[in-house]
Amino acid sequence: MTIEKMPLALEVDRLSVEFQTEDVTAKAIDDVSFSVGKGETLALVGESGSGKSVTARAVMGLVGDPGRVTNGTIRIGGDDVSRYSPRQWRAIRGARIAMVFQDSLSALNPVFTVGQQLVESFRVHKGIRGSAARKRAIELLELVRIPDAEQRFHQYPHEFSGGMRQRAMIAMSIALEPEVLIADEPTTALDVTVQAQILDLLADLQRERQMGLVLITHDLGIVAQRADRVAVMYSGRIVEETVTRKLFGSPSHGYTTALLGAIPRIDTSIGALTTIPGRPPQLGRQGRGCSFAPRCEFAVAACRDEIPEPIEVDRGHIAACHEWERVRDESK
Amino acid sequence: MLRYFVRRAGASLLVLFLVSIAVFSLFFAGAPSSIAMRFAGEGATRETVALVEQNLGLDRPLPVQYLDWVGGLLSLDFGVSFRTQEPVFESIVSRLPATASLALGAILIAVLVAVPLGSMAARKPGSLLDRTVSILAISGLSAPTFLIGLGLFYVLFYQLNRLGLPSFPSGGYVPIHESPLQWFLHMLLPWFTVALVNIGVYARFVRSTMIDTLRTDFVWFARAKGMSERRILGRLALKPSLAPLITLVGLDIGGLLGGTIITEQIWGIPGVGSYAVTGVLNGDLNVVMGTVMFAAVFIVVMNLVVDVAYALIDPRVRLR
Repeated sequence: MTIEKMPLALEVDRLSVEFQTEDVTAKAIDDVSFSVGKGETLALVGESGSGKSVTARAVMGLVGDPGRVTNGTIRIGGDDVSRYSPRQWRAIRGARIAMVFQDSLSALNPVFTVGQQLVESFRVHKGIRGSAARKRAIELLELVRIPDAEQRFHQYPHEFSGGMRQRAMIAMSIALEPEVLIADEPTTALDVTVQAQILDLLADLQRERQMGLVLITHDLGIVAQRADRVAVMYSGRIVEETVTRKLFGSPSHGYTTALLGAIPRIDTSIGALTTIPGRPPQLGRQGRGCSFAPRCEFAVAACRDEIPEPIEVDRGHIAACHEWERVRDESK
Repeated sequence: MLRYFVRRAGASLLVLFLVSIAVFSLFFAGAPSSIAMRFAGEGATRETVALVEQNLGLDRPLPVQYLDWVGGLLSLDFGVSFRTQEPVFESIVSRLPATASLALGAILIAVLVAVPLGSMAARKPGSLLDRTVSILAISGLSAPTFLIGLGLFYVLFYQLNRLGLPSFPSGGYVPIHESPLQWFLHMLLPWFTVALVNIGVYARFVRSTMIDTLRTDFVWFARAKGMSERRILGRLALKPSLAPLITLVGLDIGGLLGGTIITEQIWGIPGVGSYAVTGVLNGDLNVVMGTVMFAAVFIVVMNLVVDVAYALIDPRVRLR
């Protein structure tokens, strides 16, 4: 059996971003590598400040001051975009790689109608304007299941409900049929029933268009239901990456097990939820060892001295942990 | 939108009513006999003063005098100047084109210069351009109008004239319907006299609101959609940043339409401001009260215009 070699939707290889302030240089993300195939969903999980959003922005070519990409390559559909000029980036942003933000109320421009904000993508990228652009915009609103799309076209974002607004933002992001969609906590601001609808919508769009989806979240329930593969981030690094089933079945990094221990379960009756003691290191204050070592119940002397390299602990299962065997065996 | 407008208009009427009471009590209710004395002239006998008081209706109860005065205002009868016997309302109206030319032109220049300056400065806070704009803004802001006016006069009229070069007119006013070119040339220096201060204020204001806007998620989302920085600065971030400026501009226009005393004096523009000054110097009560009420009306009306313009730019305001 031969596997046809198709370019992946997104390949990120050893990406590093630094933030430079007057006296400190802090690594926001360090040596981050992952890939997403066409039609595949990769969940990027981690607590706030772990570098998920910086990774998303870096992949969009949108690291703002004082941040700077110091290393790494980004391939979109096989094309290396990491050396692109601002003009080249502009041409692919929104067209080949797009992003959905967390809070639709602040991510949509309050003083332009939803229609105006949809149409501008067609005008700027494709030169389609007037009634043709309008027609396509209304079709998009219908595609994301917004009722009365004709009227909604003329309304302002604040006239939409939270769920409708998120649909409108998704419509804007997928307007030009991107190969990769990055969804940065797309449902965090919504209530649970609406969350499911939005995630269903994203899944349908992804299947129809064979988009690669990077789903950034801290909700492991969503990960379990929606992701094909998971990458766990801690303190700017990917500490474990594998298919979803394996991550939940045989976690092989101290942080992953701690994270899984903090989910409420309905089928067992342990008394209290475990919390992870301590807090993540501040940017620029990472020590020389594994940055999770101070909080890790499995930590040994080597963890504090040497940063563990990512190794393949099983087929398609990568973990960066000195004690991965013990972690895996004990968490069974 | 209509309800919003009606509510604002009601509030404006209330403000005007309060202003009218304040103006009336400040100038009129104070000392009726002193007004009559001044009117009767020096060395008038007590009987003459009493007679004048009676003629002017100053001996009636205050509420009656107030209602009489307000009734006059409402029928556009502001009384006559004690000195020239000309009706005050007509005098103000005839001077309004000069004042309006000055006010609107100056504000237009200020906005056209300050908005691009402020936006560009906001793009890279702390850059050379930003600091240059800040220094210019603060200089314009802190220099008194008469200094700017006299400075412009000295350089662009006196020195050019002395060197035998074609110079700007030294002052005066030519109505626009007589000669648009001469009107423009005569207004140019007065415009800049007023505008330099406002450029400073507006540029700093636009800069700070723009810096805030450029940090918002919707600007990042626009970038994620592939919008250019030029489009963001010139349109997507500009419109939300301009809303607060509208307030400033509107109130300034309202204030300037009420007369710009110093600028009109320096450049010899026969506007409402110089009329008010003449009124004050002559103790011409009807002129003073008339010009003050006139200025108040402009400020209140511009407030209303600002509220409506604000709602047009930022649709969220209509809900409040």
